[in-house]
Amino acid sequence: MAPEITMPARRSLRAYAYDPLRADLEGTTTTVSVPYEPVGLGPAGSLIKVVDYDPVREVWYAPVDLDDPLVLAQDGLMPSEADPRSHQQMVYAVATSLLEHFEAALGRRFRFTRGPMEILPHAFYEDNAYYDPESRRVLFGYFRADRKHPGAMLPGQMVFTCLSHDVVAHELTHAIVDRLRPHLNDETNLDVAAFHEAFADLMALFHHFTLPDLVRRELARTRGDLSTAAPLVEFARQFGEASAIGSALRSGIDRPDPDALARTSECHDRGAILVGAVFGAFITTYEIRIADLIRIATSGTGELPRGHLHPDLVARIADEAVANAKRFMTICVRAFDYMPVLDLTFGDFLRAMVTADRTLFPDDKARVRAVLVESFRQRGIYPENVASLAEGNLTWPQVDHRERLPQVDAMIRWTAEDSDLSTRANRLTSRQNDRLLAIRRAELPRVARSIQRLISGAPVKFGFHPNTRRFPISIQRFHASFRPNQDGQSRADIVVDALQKRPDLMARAELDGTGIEVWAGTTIVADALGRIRHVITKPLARDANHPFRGVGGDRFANICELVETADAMDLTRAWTNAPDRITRAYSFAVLHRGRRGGAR
Amino acid sequence: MTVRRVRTRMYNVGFGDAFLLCLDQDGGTWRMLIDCGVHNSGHSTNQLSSVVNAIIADATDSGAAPRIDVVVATHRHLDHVSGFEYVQWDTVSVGEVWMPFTENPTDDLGRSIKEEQARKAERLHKHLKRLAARRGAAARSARAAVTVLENNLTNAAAMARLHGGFAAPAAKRRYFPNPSIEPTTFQLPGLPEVTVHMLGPVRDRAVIASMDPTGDHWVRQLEHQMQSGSSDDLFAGAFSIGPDALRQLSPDLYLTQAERAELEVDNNVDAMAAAASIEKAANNTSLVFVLDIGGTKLLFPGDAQWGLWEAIMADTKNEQILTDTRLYKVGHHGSPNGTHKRYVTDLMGTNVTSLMSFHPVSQWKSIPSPNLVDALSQTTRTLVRSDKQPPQAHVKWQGSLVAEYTLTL
Repeated sequence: MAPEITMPARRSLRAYAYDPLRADLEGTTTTVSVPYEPVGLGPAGSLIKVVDYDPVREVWYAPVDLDDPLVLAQDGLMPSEADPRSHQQMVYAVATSLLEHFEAALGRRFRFTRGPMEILPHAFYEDNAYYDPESRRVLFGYFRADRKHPGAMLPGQMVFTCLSHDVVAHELTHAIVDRLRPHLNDETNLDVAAFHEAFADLMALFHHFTLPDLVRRELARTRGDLSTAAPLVEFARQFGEASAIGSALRSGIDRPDPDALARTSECHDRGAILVGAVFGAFITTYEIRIADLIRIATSGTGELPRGHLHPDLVARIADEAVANAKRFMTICVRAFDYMPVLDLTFGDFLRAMVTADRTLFPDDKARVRAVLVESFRQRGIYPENVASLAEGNLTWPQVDHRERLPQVDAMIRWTAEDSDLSTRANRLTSRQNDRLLAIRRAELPRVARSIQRLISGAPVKFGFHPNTRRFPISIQRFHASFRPNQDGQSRADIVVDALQKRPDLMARAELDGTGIEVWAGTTIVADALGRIRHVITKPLARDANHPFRGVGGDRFANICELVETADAMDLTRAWTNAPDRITRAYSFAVLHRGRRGGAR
Repeated sequence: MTVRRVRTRMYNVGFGDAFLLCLDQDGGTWRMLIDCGVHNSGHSTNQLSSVVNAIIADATDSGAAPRIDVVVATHRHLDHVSGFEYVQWDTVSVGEVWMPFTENPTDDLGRSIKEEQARKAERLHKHLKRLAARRGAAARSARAAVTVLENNLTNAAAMARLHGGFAAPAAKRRYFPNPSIEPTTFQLPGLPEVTVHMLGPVRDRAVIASMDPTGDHWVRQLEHQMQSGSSDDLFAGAFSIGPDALRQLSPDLYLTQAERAELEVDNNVDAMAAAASIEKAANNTSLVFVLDIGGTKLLFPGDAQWGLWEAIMADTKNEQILTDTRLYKVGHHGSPNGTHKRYVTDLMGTNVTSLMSFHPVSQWKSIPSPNLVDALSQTTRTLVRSDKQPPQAHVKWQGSLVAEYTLTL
């Protein structure tokens, strides 16, 4: 018998470049390249499972078979609004591609909590889409374009949010963030929900740059001026036009205003300020990166002549744009391991990005971090309790604990095992995967217990209340990541999240029924030897002698104030007596729906 | 002539407002009626028509025809105006009728806001009634929303009387704010020593419509759904597949009955949020005013809610006006966001009596807000509520029909 044919490394799938509107206007379809994995009908892969049930019409749509030879032979089905199977294919393609880039930035394999994430491309009738953290599904709506102001569409034309690259990437990012930082669902300050929105928009925007053909095309058209390359820097054009907003839903390009943050509380609007800060830095660093190429192309003048750019020049500057987007996506994603477990602020995010990046690249030769910090400053985003915006002050302080983090070797082994399963194909096909996870599940409690013992032995040092009998400490997540650093060596980061619930404070503030819980939380970052480098904590320290006194201000008082304000504004409160009134009001569904009402 | 005492009569209509302000002078009594109506879902034991008769009797000096100097309709909600539908009013002569600018037929902005609110309320009401007739959770929430929404339907007879009725000669109609004609600070007609500070509403669509985009969105969404219909197919029939065929083809993709039901819940719009948003929008057209009688200040905020209160409190000029109020008509029947917290904690002072017109409604458990009730009755503050008749200083009850609070100047 002839030897088996090796599995392909990649699978190509055709998709709308941005959304069907741009495809109509500009003829832009593209091909998304995703890691090859055998997929079931759906498509159902290792991380994504598309379930095409339409609850409005109570209809199932036939699932696409991506491994059908006819489909394989033509790089997936041709994108079509009229064929639900091409919708299923597009959702799978964009989601899988985003996850691949996410994993690369994260430095370890990513899994959802309970098997693959279920996605419903036609889940309801509304100009909306959302991730539901309770059922852990991503749901996409469809709706008719506005009859009076349909933009470039037919009045009343059906618009599918699952065909928007941006909307798919945005919603999937919500699902990923929920997995990485579940306690960021606790809306304990205005920045938390805004961060969710901003981060999801940023991932969607940077994901545009994973499609080099589109980047080249746009940079040729705009003569290298990225900030005017609308399709690349705008978010969800068709969605916006169909909802009579008359433009893209949002944009990465903003006008920096240092006072805007203080007067903005709606989470998408507030998030837009963070998007502007990160994306502004991305544009500035791109311009720095291509300056030499422009000089070479213009005999040193830097002044581009009229007319088209040389295609070779376009290709080179497009490479820079793509590489820069990858760099920024990486900075944003890596920040996760250096973020507080809960009660995140924009300032914390900046500090996490700077610390994570500086750990790997102390030099900042390309001045990426300097530009980033300046971009935040221009938008009035300042971390609390830092002496200045100098990098040394922005990075989380180094700690010098005598104690070593236990069980580091187990965590390193798990990540190494995962990384060795070099393709998705291996990961999925083998029952190995299940076996591996079963073994790991048996190991987990032991590891958690020993970490918990360490922290419970010195709770105050880690930002917790000393009475750990009354308020036990729970270890939520712990893992190792490998990342290449400046001198090409792989560096391991061990990250542990620990939490302590405070029912006494909740009772005192009558928070029962609001859905808001009061927790102290700490992220511990250690090296491969278990030496603890950072203790990033959100304490509830009210005692003057507490080492973390002052970190994040009086968080408990802030939470009480937030509940009070939310109650004052909640117009249904007089008429209903629903449980979890605060968190319900802030849930993803409502947030996304809220945006649509608040957009105009 | 000087005002010697102020008698504020709070009629126990139920969940609604009817206040008769009597300013006693040596030569007689000057009267202002602020609202007269009850919510469909919150009647007290008193019939509204008997309340109306009592008001008219109280507004009649011996040997004279009934006379009210100023009638104020703070906003057009039924729980504030429904009592004006009774024909007895045709015997009452009225000097002036004050209404918000949204009632002014020659005010383009006001009229468009009012018409938009009325149109939305009617459309939603029709849609929710249909939903309410079905079974299940969605119908239940629609029914709850209908009780809130009904308050927004126009009572044509009552509004017609406010605009063109009462005994001849015709009362003067005044609309606030009306920057070209009406100053925000002015003297009471016939009582130059009493200054009126008209603080609200504000001529700002954003403040009135909604400070909360979520609620507004629900309204839009409901309208959207009404238009769309779900009968037409999304894709050609050949693309759909039966559940059994799907289970056979790929059992992994099948969703159980329970899972499908869960997804349908996601398709239900929040009827209460939509109704509440409409309710609040009209509340935020409320006249909000302070009567300053030689330094003694009485505040009548109508049903102003979060957005309007916020706008009033944001104007630093108003702080002085609101400082040390002697009488406070509790906003929006004591609901959690009908009174601005900072007004209570920082401005109203300690020597204040609050009158809360209210009736318990079982499904509206947050009204009145316990925190507000505590704050308004702590230490030297007094709270008089229309649903309870304990003996209180300076308060005289006539059965359970009316509480009269007397302020001697």
